Amino acid sequence: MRGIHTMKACSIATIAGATLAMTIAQSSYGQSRQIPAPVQSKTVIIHDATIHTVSGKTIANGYVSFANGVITDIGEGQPPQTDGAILRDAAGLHVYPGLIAADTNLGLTETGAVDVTHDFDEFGNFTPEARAVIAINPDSELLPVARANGILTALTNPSGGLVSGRCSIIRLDGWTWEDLAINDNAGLVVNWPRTDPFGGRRFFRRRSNPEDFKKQLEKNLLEIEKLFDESLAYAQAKEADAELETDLRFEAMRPFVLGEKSIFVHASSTGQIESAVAWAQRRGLKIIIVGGTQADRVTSLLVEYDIPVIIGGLHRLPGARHADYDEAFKLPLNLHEAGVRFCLASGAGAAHERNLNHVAATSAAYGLDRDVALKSVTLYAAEILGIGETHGSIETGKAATLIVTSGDPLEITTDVILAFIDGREIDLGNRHKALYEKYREKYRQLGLID
Amino acid sequence: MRTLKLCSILSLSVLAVGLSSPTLFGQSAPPNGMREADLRAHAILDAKVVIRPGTVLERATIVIKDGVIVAIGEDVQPPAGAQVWPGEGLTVYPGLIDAALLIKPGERDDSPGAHWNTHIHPEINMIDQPSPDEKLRKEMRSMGFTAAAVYPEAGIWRGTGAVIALADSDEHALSYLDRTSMAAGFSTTRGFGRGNYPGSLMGAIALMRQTLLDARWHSASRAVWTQHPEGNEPPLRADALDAMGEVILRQQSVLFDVSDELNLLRAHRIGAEFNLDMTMLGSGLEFRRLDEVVATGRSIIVPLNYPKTPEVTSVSEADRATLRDLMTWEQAPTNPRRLLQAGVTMALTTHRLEKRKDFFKNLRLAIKHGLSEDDALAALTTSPAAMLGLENVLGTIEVGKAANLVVVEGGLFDKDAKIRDTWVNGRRHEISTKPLIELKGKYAFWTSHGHTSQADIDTEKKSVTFDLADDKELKAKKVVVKKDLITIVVSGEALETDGYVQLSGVVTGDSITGNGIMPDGDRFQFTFTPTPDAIDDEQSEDDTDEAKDDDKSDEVIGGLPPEELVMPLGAYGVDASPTSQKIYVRGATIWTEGPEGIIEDGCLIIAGGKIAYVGPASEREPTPDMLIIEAEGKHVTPGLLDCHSHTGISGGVNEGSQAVTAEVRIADVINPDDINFYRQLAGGLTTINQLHGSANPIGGQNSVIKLKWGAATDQLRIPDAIEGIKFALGENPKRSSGRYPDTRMGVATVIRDAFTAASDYKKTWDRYLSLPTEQRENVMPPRRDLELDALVEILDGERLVHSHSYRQDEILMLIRIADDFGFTIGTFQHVLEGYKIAEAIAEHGAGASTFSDWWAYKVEVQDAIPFNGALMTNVGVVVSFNSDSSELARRMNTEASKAVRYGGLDPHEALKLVTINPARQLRIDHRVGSLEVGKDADFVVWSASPLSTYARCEQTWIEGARYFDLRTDEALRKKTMSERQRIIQKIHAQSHDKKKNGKDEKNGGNGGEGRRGRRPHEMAQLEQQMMQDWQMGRDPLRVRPGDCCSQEELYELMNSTGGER
Repeated sequence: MRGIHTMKACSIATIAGATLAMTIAQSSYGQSRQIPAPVQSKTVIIHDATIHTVSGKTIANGYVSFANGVITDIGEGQPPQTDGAILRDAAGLHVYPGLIAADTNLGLTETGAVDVTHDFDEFGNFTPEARAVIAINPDSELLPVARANGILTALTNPSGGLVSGRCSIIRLDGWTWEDLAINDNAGLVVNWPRTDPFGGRRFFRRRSNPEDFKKQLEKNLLEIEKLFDESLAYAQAKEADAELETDLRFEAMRPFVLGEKSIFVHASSTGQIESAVAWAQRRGLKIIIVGGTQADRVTSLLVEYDIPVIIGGLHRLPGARHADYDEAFKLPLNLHEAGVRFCLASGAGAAHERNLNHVAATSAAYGLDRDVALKSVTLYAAEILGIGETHGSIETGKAATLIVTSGDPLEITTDVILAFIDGREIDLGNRHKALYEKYREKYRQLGLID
Repeated sequence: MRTLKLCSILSLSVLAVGLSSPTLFGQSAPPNGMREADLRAHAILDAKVVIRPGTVLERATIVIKDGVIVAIGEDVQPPAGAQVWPGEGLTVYPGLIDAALLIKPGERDDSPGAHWNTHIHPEINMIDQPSPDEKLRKEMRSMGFTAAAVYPEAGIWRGTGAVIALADSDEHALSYLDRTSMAAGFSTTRGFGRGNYPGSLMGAIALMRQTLLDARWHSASRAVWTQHPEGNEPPLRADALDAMGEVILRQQSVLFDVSDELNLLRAHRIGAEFNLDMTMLGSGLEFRRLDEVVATGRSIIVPLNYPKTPEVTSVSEADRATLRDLMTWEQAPTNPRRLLQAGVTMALTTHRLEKRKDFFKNLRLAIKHGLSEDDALAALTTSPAAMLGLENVLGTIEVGKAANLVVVEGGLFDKDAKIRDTWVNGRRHEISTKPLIELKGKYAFWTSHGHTSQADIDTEKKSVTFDLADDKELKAKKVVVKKDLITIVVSGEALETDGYVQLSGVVTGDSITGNGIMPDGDRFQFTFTPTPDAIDDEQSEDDTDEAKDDDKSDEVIGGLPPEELVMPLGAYGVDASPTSQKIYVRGATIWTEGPEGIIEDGCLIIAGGKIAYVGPASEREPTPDMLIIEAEGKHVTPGLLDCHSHTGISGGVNEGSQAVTAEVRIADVINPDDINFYRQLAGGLTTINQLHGSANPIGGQNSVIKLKWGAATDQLRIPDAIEGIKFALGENPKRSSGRYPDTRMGVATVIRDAFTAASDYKKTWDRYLSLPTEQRENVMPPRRDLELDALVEILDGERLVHSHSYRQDEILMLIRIADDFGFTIGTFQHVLEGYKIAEAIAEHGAGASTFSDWWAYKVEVQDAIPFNGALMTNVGVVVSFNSDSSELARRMNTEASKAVRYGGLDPHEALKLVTINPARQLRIDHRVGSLEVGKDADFVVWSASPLSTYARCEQTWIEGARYFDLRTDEALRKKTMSERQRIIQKIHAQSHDKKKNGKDEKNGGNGGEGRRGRRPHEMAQLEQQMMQDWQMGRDPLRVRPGDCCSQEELYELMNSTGGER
């Protein structure tokens, strides 16, 4: 038995959460205006908590201290040095690293059905110059909603076309997009063309003319090759002659085509993954597979070339009528057992990143070790996104980006009570909580609730 | 089928034997020049005659006069003056009959009496339409068909068929029966747009039903007016309704064209509802639900359109071949035999074949799969004749019957059979002729140069092979046989020279004599003469070869398919629907969701499909006849309910072509084969509310079913569930372009107007019904309107409204309309702003069925909050969480957890949101939703607290029967894998064999997809967008929160138009 399994435990957790919310985190419910927190000025010590370091062992009764945004001390029992520090009593509570959403459009979209709120899909098939971070709306209502469930760090993507642009890693709190940026140029997003002329679904099989499809596929692949050829030629030419006319597309491509930075290749089927890996090896590129629906069928290839996979969610129907009902749920287990490096994304769309914990728990319900499941939305995600040195676990020297919870963060019923990003205590309020409070007031006025 | 004019036709034909002379027929134009003799007396001598299936005369003579058989027998002598046809070595069969030849009728007449809907044109009479064109008639004759029942191919009520002779001229394509059945089918105009009614299968069924009611009403109105013209206005002209007059009185039968086995069952239900005499034009897929098909008792005209062989060459192709497709492919040739074995009256048809000429190839495959040749012949002769009521005219070779014959060299069903002549009404149509020459074997080749060698000649195969030195052989490049002349072009090697040699000669006796030209122009003479020894040897060798071939082709490569079929066909199908057991569940934490709350170390006793006891385990002991489920450390909950589902609906979830479609019913189109039923059982779900979509303010009627995987459709429905209907407010119903309403104001008005109409309608009927019987006979009856009937039921509190809604203003609006008309809303669906107006919902008494945490997908959900469920609950609303998604429906338990997380509901209360609360909303809480004594034994065993994200559903039971458990699932997975592999291997073996000898008859090849409805522009755009997404590597159908049922609409589109059969 792991986490909260019985009714009793649930209610205890809820009560504990509710009590604490009143005592130490009053501002997180109700009239919040989601004001970004100031830079950490004083040492903070969270004590009498269970510290889940994720990277190392769990400390049943311990503390974690942080100053200037960085974790300075972790230990058992009481903190040795408390002078001038802000002490946060977290008795009965748990400290975890903040969750990382590894594949999102956060900040680039607001309302699904309203196109003008979409800033992730630039015109054209090849737009490497597009950079996600500069279009992120720091006041998006979606950010505080994700944050309230412990998601403090996210990769945000452009999408659409074949080469969509460059993704960025952000912290989910700040006044401007510059405040938000952890890595404004985290990778190049490539959508690998579908390689299967028939498509997985009968609908498409019936409709796609295999010959047309093949032609289109070849054309797409050729265009990707051409872009990379030209970008490489440009990079070399520019090296030799700095006066060469500047091309912003090729400039954007430079670190990727030289194999210095990761390319996030969105690929789902075995055919797409195989074709993308072969391409990357031929060109000496660093790639990460995103999506990876059928990645567990090509694990030897992924292990051989040490290519990590960002799994694009698990809550989807099996790919065929005859497939196991839990086909998707078992994917993380299969990758883990084969030794493929992976992490988990929600696959649910920006507004619903808050259910990332549920995705991780599903992988555990279907066989993955629970601690590995937790790592797949914290440490593994940080490592694959290239921020493993600073994020993803509670370790001295890492960013103080962490959450205090009423229990296992992979349980839906668990409350996130406190959150810190770089040591700054984050407002956990959001539009949802504000509307909740507003209408609770209505029913208090009507005498319908206490 | 009824015979209408049969008697007169019969007597005519008997008279004709003695009297008539066709040239004197009244309507013929005077001849231009000399009169031509029409030779109408014939005799076929010394043929083997198959009088009827199973009755054979080995050597008999058939005498025909004026289109009719006048004598037949072994001792019969041809009369003087008869044209004599030698039949030695030939077999004569009764002419074949196709009981369903569907053709396109001429342009529809837009007369004032035509029906408003273009799918309804029963007034078409095929006898008034042009005959099928001669190209089709000729093709049919070339396969031995002599008569066919022709029907219009499209529409819902399509028109009356006729039985015609497949003669070679329009003049002779006369009618055996001017009026046979009324053709019908489920035609739709796919799409949302206005003017496309019906845009869904359920719409087509509703329109069909309404037309039958209208025909009754029209007929009653006419009767009243005929009796009492005084004081009454005459009924409007209604040709379409008049044309249905005999159908509703069971005086004319219906031929129902169905595209699959589920539609056959649906058609049958309509037939039963209106007491119609009905024959099915089947799909070839009847075997997939054989028991239910057989139970209809309907006769079936069966096509032989086997599915295409699934593509399994590459790994990814093989991965995608579903077991259902593979089994359907493998089993399709067993369909006719299975139907006959089960006692179904059956005829065969060429209908649905992509290439009609594949008919005999496919029939031979059916024979290989167990259909007897006599049964096959009966299904093409006596059986269709009887179905058409023409058993006295057609179907056998007997005196007095139409001289419709097939003359065959070989057996009709043999692979090498050659149809020589097809006789239609005593007129001979030559199909093929025996070649004038037949040379086969080893021949000595001599030329005037003095060259001698040997060659193999086979004139039938047009092959000549010369023997060269060193045992080499040389095949002639070209062989032309024309009557008794033969030309051979062969490489000069045959005569030890370069270039090509030409040989042309004439066949005399068994030799060829002729002259040739050498490459250099030198002329010479040559002969081929048989080498006597060689001929015998070769012949006998060939014979044995052929015998071997025949033997081989009688076998199905890879073996015959298994006899036992699972239900539903395909992966995870079961041998038999599970049965209720006596059960003792021990030691579980039981979430009763009733007044007992949570019972630790509890026990649950099930008997007769009901809960017999629930309480502490210490108080009851199991009896020996009980199945004990050890559940220590496990959690047991009621089976979960989903109050908003679109799973398991065939042919479209929206009838969005009109603003009000209260007449359409999801219950008409339940698809019990939807694999998502099984997947949802694996998530602990047992009951779902199948809702119409949200395309119109007043949508269709819903259906509440249990997920009884493997059961018959009729067994899924909860018998005493109060029926309901879908309404929709807000953005969805107003987004349809070119259709009122465009605003929330309009939505409200459409609904108010509909209820106003329903009130008036009710009054009209009340007035009419309150008249004394004798007065009622004097006045025109009001028209039954299924749309208004449903609305009246709402007003009477007999039908629940389930209204799609988001914003508080529209929720309040509908409450006020309901208040005004005096009924109570069943549920508001989605109701994402319900928390803003919870007191009004509670006061009105409506339920709220909401998403746990969806938001941000469109403007009207900007204020959606995950606290909605808990807050409404706290204010006193009965709240449920629903899925609106076939995927999310698999984990409703963790949806309930969100009411703990957001708003702090007690866990036991939270689980009510997916158990007893939706049961209350659907008014089935007396049966399901909680574990209380006397209720249905629908329960789930979980590995942990159902609210934990780590919990797995381990077992799901419905009414004491096990529908899912992990161990069985494991076994089914293995079975699925091994069956798939077995059939895939079979396909490999067959295609390998095909390449090897190039003449196999492997299963299938020409799957008829059936007609698809036209798709309007917006659907085409949607498809195009989806295709683009797909091509770019995105899955446009990835499950994510979105518009109500848009996801499902797409799935549905894919499934139905993609032919998921």
